[in-house]
Order: sequence, then C-alpha cells, then structure tokens
Amino acid sequence: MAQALDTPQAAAVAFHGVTKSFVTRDDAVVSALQDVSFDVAPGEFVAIVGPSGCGKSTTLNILAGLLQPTRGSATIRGRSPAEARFDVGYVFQQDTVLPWKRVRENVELGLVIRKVAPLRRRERAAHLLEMMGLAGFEDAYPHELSGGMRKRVGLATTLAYNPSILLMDEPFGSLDAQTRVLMQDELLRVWEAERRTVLFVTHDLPEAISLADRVIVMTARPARIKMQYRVDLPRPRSAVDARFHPNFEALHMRIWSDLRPELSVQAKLDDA
Amino acid sequence: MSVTTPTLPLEHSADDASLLRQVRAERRRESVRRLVDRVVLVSVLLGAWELVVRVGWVHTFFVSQPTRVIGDLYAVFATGYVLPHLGITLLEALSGLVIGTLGGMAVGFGAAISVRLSDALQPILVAFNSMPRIAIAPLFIIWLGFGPESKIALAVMVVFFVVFFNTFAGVRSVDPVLVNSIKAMGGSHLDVLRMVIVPFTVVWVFAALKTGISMALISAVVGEFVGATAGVGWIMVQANGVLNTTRLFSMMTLLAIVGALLFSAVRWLEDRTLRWRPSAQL
Repeated sequence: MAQALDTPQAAAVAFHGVTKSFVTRDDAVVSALQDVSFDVAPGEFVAIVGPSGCGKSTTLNILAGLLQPTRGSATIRGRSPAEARFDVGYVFQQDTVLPWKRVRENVELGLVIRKVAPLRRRERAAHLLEMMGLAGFEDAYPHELSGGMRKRVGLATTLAYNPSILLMDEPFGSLDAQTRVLMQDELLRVWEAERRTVLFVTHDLPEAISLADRVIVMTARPARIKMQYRVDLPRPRSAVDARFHPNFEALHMRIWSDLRPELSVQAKLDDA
Repeated sequence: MSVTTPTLPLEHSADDASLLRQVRAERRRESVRRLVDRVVLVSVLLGAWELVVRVGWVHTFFVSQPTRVIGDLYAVFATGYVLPHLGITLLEALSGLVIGTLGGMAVGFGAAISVRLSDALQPILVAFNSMPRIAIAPLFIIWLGFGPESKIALAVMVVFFVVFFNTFAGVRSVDPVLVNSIKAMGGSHLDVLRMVIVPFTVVWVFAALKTGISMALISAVVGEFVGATAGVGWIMVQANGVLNTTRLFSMMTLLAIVGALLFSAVRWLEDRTLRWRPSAQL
C-alpha cells in the first residue's frame, strides 16, 4: 500500500503540534485542539470524523486563516494560512450563498476578489454552472432555488476560483438524505476529474469512508488525533456503490469502535 | 444507477395554466373585496362625522365637518395660497430626511465596524436618544432663526438617530458565516463591506427611512409652530389664532396625504432596490 504520509515532498497541508484554546465569557480556558499533527498529500482526499463540537471545524478555520493557533504551526504548501489565503476554498455547513446576489454573481465572488476581468469571470462562472447542472439559473435569486441547488451554487462559487485546497465543513449536513447522496456523487465526480486536495469534516462515518482516501478520527474535546485509517476502496467511486463494497463493512466497524467511546465522552462534556 | 438533476419546471402545462388562471382570478376578487371594505369603512366614518354636525349634536366650530374641510382644501389650492407654504415645509422635511439619513448611515457604519468608536460614542448617543429631541426646537429657532434652517436642523436631529440605530443594529446582525465565507475566499475588509455588510444593512436603513419620513414631516411642522414666517405649520398657527378649525383640519389632511405619498415613494424605491427578497412584506 502506498504511504503518501511517508513521502517527504511538500505536503499540501501540514499541522504540527497545533493547540487552540479559547477563553470563555466566565474566564475559563477551553481547549478545542490539543497537540494535533497531520499531513495531507497533494491531491489527497482526507476526511476528519469525531464527535460534534470536538474541534473539527476549528481545524478548518485555522487553515482558512480565520483563527490563529495558540501553539504549533499550520501551513499550506509551506506557507502560513494568511499567505496562502488565495489557495484555499472553504465550503461551510451553513448556507453561504449571498441572497442579494444572483446565482451568477455569487459564483463570481471569488473571481471579483481576485480582480479577474469581467469577461473571463463570466466564462468561468458559466462553465461551473454548467458543470453543476445549474445552467439556465444564472439570473435567478437564491431564494428561488431549493436547498440542494443553493448548495451546488456554493460549491460552484468555491470551485470557480480554482483553489488547490478544499476545506469542507459538513457541507451536506443540512440536506435531506437523497440530496446528500447526489451531492456526494457530484463532489466525487469533480474531485476525480481535478484531484484537488480535500479536507472534509463530517460526523457521518459512512460519508467519510465512501468519499475519502484516508479517515482521521478525533477524540472528544480537547480534540486529539486518535487514529488514522486508509480507505481501501477502488476509484472511481460512487458514493452509493462504495457502501456496498466488501471492504466497506469491516472498515466501518473498525472506525466505529474507535469513534463510539468518544461520542459518549463528548456527550458527557456537553451535559456538564 | 442513473442520477438525474432536479430542476424547476420552466414551462406550464395546460393544467398548470388553468390552475394559474383560477388562482389569479381568486386573488383579483380578494383585492377588490378588500378595496370595497376599506372604502365603505371610511365613508361610514366620514358620514358619521358629517351627520353629528348637521344634526346639531356637536357644533361645527369645534370639529368642522368633512364637506367644509374638502371645500377649504380646494380653495387653498385653487387660489394657490398653500403652494409656497407646502413647498417650504417639504423642503425642510426632505432636506432633514436626506441629511439625517446620510449622517446616520455614516456614523452607524463607522460605529458598527469600529468597536472603539462605538464605545466612545455610546454615552452621548444614549443621552441624546433618551431626550425628547423635538423639545430642542426653541433652541434651534434662537440659533438659526425663523427660516427653514432651524426646521431642517430639527428634522436632522430626529431622523439621524433613527437611521443611526437601525444601521448599527443592521451591521451587528449580519450573519458571521457570510463574513467568514468572503474572508475564506481571500476577501479583504473592503470586500466584506461591499459584498455582505452594506447590501444586508440596506434593508435596515429602508426600515428606518419609512419611520423617518413621518418624523421629518413632524419636525418641520413642529418647528414652524414654534417660530416661522411660512410653511404649513405656520398656516396652522395663523388659523389657530382666529379659531379656524376647518383650516386646521384641512392642513392636517394635507399633511397626511403628503406623508402617505412620500411613504409610497420610499416603498417603491425599496421594492426596486431589494428585489432579491422573497417578497416585499405587506
């Protein structure tokens, strides 16, 4: 089995001993991340699973430059997140499509920020909308679209400016089960065509396994890395078919046995 | 397995068309009924007013009567007497509205974005806001004289705070995930401002503008009550001096009509500006 981890060449994403602590309103110090280290190889699809509220989103927020680590270093292709801010695309769990912009204007946002010429912007947006099955909706306002369509507009917006690293924070969590599977397939199709580096946070274990090359399991708060699993499922994949592959069940069982105790620990933390 | 992309129906089938016709007819009937109800209600109220005076239950000296008020309104327009006064009152109210709105927006955005500025401004703003600002009118007359300037200043004072507080609240209620989303795309503070904060806050500014209109009009008229040489408020003070209730009622009616027209103008502008919203309320 090829171990991308061991190759010394520049990692797309590197986390070295990252700790992130917050001071709460009543002056308590809470650690979200505790000494977290991992590398992601260029073109690799890595999923991070762990209990809700453990600190998975914090990991992505640090890489997007929205938060600074308290200790340790986070780098993107050898540079700080602030320096690499044009390389990163972030798909949030929430709806981030701007309601006051038409679909095409939304898809062009990142290109406007990068000062791309209007004509090229339009071309690129048209291409992305075509790819995401949104052709014909260029001039619609977001409120005229369904939740799944808005999610695709969000994804098109992120892909439009061609980020080399995709950060995805439970991107399909708010969708109904069928739409979610459709979107997972959509994502796989796009990823397999272009092989960007993806860091995908989810609490849906089957989703993590069916999409990723590698699954990182995080512990309850403060989150540490508990275990990493390589996913041995053939590519190209379909999100549904992957679940019926003979290797899926065993892997699911193993990861679940790691994840499960963490869920109960986190639940107790949340109750306290 | 085949995966089809869900799309919205773009064309209507024959069934859809007939359903559409039916719903449209229903909506039309409803709006006609609403209009009839309103006209009937207003007619009954005006009729009752006219009646109590004609029967002699209340003397016309105190409450005038609808027919006299309408007659007076016609007269002041036919002779052109009211026009320069109306022009001055409108000038005062609109200047105050525009200046107060621009100022309120500027300080509102500034304070919402700079924590330091909002912390520093807070006690002053709270003090001014809890003061009945219209009561500053006599001072403005002393400072700025009997002309339109004192009334404009009064309207600015009143409108500024409404717009300021709404702008401030609007900026503060922007969804942080939208801000983070623009930042994660590599957007600067300026990008966040023009792509998220300003377009979102415009909704709040329009809400303030709609109350601001009547407040500006009230300020202009009250300013004219306190001391003026022209304006609708000045006409009312003159009428009051000779106990001309009909004139008072006709000027109040005129102000109500002007207020309603200005309100519709802002509503129209709002609907045009905020097309992205699912549907304009009310």
